[in-house]
Amino acid sequence: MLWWYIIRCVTHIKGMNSKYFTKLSQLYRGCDDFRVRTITNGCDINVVSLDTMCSVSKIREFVIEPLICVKAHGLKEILNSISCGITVREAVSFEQALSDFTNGYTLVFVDGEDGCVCVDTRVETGRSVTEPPTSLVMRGPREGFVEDVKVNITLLRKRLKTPDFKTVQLNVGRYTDTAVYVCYIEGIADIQVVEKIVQRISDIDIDGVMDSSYLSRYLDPRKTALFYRVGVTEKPDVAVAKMLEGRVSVVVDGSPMVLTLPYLFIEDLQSPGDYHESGLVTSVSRLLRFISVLASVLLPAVYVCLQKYNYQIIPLKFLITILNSTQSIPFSPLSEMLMVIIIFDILREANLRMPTAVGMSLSLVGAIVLGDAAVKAGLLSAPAVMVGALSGIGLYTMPENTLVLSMLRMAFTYIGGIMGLLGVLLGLLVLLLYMSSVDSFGTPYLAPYAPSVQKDRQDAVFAKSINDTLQRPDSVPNVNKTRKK
Amino acid sequence: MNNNVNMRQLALILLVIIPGGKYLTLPAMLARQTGTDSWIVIATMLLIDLICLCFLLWAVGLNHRYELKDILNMTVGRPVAKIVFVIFLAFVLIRMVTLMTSAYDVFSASFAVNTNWLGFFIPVFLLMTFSLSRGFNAIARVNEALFTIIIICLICMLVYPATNANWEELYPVATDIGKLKETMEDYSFWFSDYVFIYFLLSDIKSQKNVAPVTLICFITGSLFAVFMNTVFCALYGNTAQFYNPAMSKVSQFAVFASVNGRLDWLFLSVWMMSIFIKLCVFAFCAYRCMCSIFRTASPALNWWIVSVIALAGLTPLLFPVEEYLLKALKVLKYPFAVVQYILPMTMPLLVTLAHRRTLKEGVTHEYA
Repeated sequence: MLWWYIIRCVTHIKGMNSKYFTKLSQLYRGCDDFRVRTITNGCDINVVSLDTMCSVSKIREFVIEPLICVKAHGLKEILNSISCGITVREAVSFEQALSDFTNGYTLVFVDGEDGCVCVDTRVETGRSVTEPPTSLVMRGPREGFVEDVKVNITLLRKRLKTPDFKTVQLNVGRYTDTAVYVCYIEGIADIQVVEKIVQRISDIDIDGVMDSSYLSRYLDPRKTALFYRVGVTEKPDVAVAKMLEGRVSVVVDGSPMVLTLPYLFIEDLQSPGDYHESGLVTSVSRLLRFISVLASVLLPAVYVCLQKYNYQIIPLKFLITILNSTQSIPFSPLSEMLMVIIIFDILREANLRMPTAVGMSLSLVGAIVLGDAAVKAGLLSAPAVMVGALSGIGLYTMPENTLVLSMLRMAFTYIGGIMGLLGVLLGLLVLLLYMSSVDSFGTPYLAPYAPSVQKDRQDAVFAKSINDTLQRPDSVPNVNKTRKK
Repeated sequence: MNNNVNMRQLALILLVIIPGGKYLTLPAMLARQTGTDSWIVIATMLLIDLICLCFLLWAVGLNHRYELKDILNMTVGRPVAKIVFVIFLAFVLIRMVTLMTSAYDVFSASFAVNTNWLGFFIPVFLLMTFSLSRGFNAIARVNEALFTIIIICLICMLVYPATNANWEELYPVATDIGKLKETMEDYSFWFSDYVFIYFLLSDIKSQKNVAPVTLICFITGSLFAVFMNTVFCALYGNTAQFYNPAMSKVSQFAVFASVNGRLDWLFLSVWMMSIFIKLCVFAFCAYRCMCSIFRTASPALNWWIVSVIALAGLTPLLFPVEEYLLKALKVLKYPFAVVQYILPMTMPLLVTLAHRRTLKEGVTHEYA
C-alpha cells in the first residue's frame, strides 16, 4: 500500500524528462516529507523540496510567486527571475544539487533539461546566542557559539572585520553531510598547518558527524592519546584571540563547540577572564590553578605514601592529629583514599546526569551526608575525606582535562600506596616523558616549558599584561610574529 | 625516536646531572681515601672534565652530520671503532648500575622503605625503557621542565647546612698530594658525565654562541658538586666516611628539617629526580652503544638491547657491585681512560679527518 502511494507521488508528474529529477525522486522514495509541485508556465517546471527542512513562506515568496509571474523557458531564465534577495545558484553536478537539497534548498527542474536551480529556502531553527554554560566569566563578552554553523561564522566575522579572515568549507559524513568550516587568518596562520588540517578532515570517511568532538578524534591521530590535543571553546572571543596567535579554528555545523588547533597543555590554565586583569593578578590566579592541579593529582598519593611509609616526614603535631583520626579506621590508607576518590567521582558523574532542578541539591546533600556519615561511622577518616575533596575540587581548575586528571589521580594514589615516594616520583617522570614527547600539529604539548620557549612564557603560568605582549607566540606556528608595533 | 636536542637543553642536562650523581655514595668513599680533602679530588676531576668538554664542544662545532660511529669508522676503522664502543658500553653500564645501587641506598635506608633490589629496579627499569621509547628529546625536555625545581630543592637542602658547617674541619688542606693523585686515578670512573654528548653528535641542533652557555652550565654544576662535598666534609669532618648516602645526611641540617618532621625529605625526593634523569641518560648511551656495536639502526625500540640493559641492572642481585667494582676499577680505569679522556681530546681531529675524507673520496653512502 505504501509503495503504491510512493510510486503514485513520483509518477503523477507526467512529462518530466530530467535526469537529476528522476535520480532525486528515486533516492527519496519512501520519504513523506519529499514534496513536488508542478507548475506549467511556458514549460513544465517541478519545484522539489523537503517539507521538514524548508520554510513554506520562503518557497512561496522566492520560488512559486516568481515562477507564476514570469514566463520562463529554461533554467537560465528561471535563475534570473528568482535571483533577488536570496541565495540562488545553478547546480554544477548532481552531488551538489543533492547536498543543497538535503540542507534545505528547494530545487527547480525544467522538463527536458538535466540540471536544476537551487534556491536557499532553509528553515531557521535553533537557539539564539546566549552565554555558554561551561565558560562563565565575571568580565568580558558573554556571547557563546550556537549549533548553527552560519551563526557561529557570523560571530567570528563580527570580531574579525578583515578580508584576511578565511574560511574553507568541507562536508563530512556520508549520511549527515555535515558542513565543517576551517577558519584562519591569512598572513598570521601557517598555511601548512591549515592544509594539514584540511587534508585530515577531507580524509575522514565516516557515516556521520554529530558534534565537533567526532572531528577532534580524527584530527588527533594518536588513538591512545591521554590528553586532549585539540582545543575546544564555546566563546567566539576566545576563538578569535587564538586565531590572532596563529591557530586555526574548526567550526562544525550542529555543534556549539569550536575546535582550535594546535593546542597546548598550558591553554587549559588560561581563562578568558585573565585578559581583563592585570599581569600580576593573572599570574597569581594562574599559579593558584597550577598548584591546585598538581595538588589534585599528587596530594592523595603523597598522603597515602606519608601515612603508609614515610610518616617521619609529617610534623609531630600533625602526625598525632592524623593518627587520632585514623586509628579506628578498618581500611589501609590506600583502600581508604581510593574509596574517597571513587565516591567523589561517582557523585560527580551522577551530578552531570541528574536533572538540573535536583542535581545541585542532591549532590550537595549526598556529599555532606555521605562524607559525614562515613566519618561518624568510623569507615573513613576526616583527613582522608578532606584530602579527597580538596583534590576533587582542584581538578576543576583545568576544566578540559578534568577526567584525565581524575584518572591520573587514582593511578598515582595506587602507585603511591604500593611503592611509596619512589613510585610517585617515577610515575611523575613517566607522565612528564609522555607529555613532553607529545605534539599537536608540530607544537610541543608542554611548550613553553618543555621545550623552553622564553618568549612565550609571557602568557603561561606567569603572565604579562596584554599591553606588554608585543609578539605572537613562537610555540604556535605563525608567519607574522609582530603583534604590537 | 626523536633524539634532537638543542645546546640549551644539553647545557641544562649537564647542570642537572653533574651534581646529580656526585652526592650519594661517592663522598663517603672519597672521604675514606682522602679524609676531608675529598672535595679537592672532585674539584680537580671536574676541572679535567671541563677541559675534555671544551674539546668535545669544539668537535660538535666542527661536525655537521656524522654520528660517533661514522667518525670512528672513517678514521680509525671498524675494528677499533667496535672496541671503543665496547669500552663505552662497559663504562655506561657500570655507571648506570652503580648509580642505581646508590639511589637504592637512599630509598631503602633514608626513606625506610622495606624494599628489595627487584622492587626498586623493576620500576626504574620501566622508566628507562619508556624514556628510550620516547627518545632523547623527551628526556631533554623533561629535564628542562624540572631543572628549576631540582636546583631550588638542591639549594634549599644545602644553604642552611652550609651555615651550620664547621669550615675549620677542612683544614689542613691537601696534606698528602700523592694520596690525592692516587684517589683521582682510582675514582676517575665516577666522572666524565658529559659522555652522553658523544651519542648525540648528529642530533644537536646547530646554534651560534652556545658553547659558552654549555660551559657556564657545566661550571655551575661542578661548583654545586664541589660545594656539596665541602659542606659534607665540613659537617662531618673525619667521620664523613661513615655517613652514607651523603645527601640525606646533609639534608637533615636543612631549614625545614626538625625534630618534629623531616620535611627536607620532600626536597630530597624532588632532587632524586635528577638521579633518575641521569639514569635515563646512561640508558640512552648504553642503547646507542649497542646499536653501534650490533649495527642496528631501526627506529623502533630493540627489545634485545633493552634486555641487555635489564640484565646489567640485575647484577646487584648476584654479587655486591661496589665491593667488586673497586677491585675491577684498578684495571678498568685504563681502558675507560680512552673514552673518558683520550677520545674527547682527539675528537676535533677525528671529526676534521672524517669530513676531509668525505670531501676527498666522497664517502657518504657507506657511513652516513
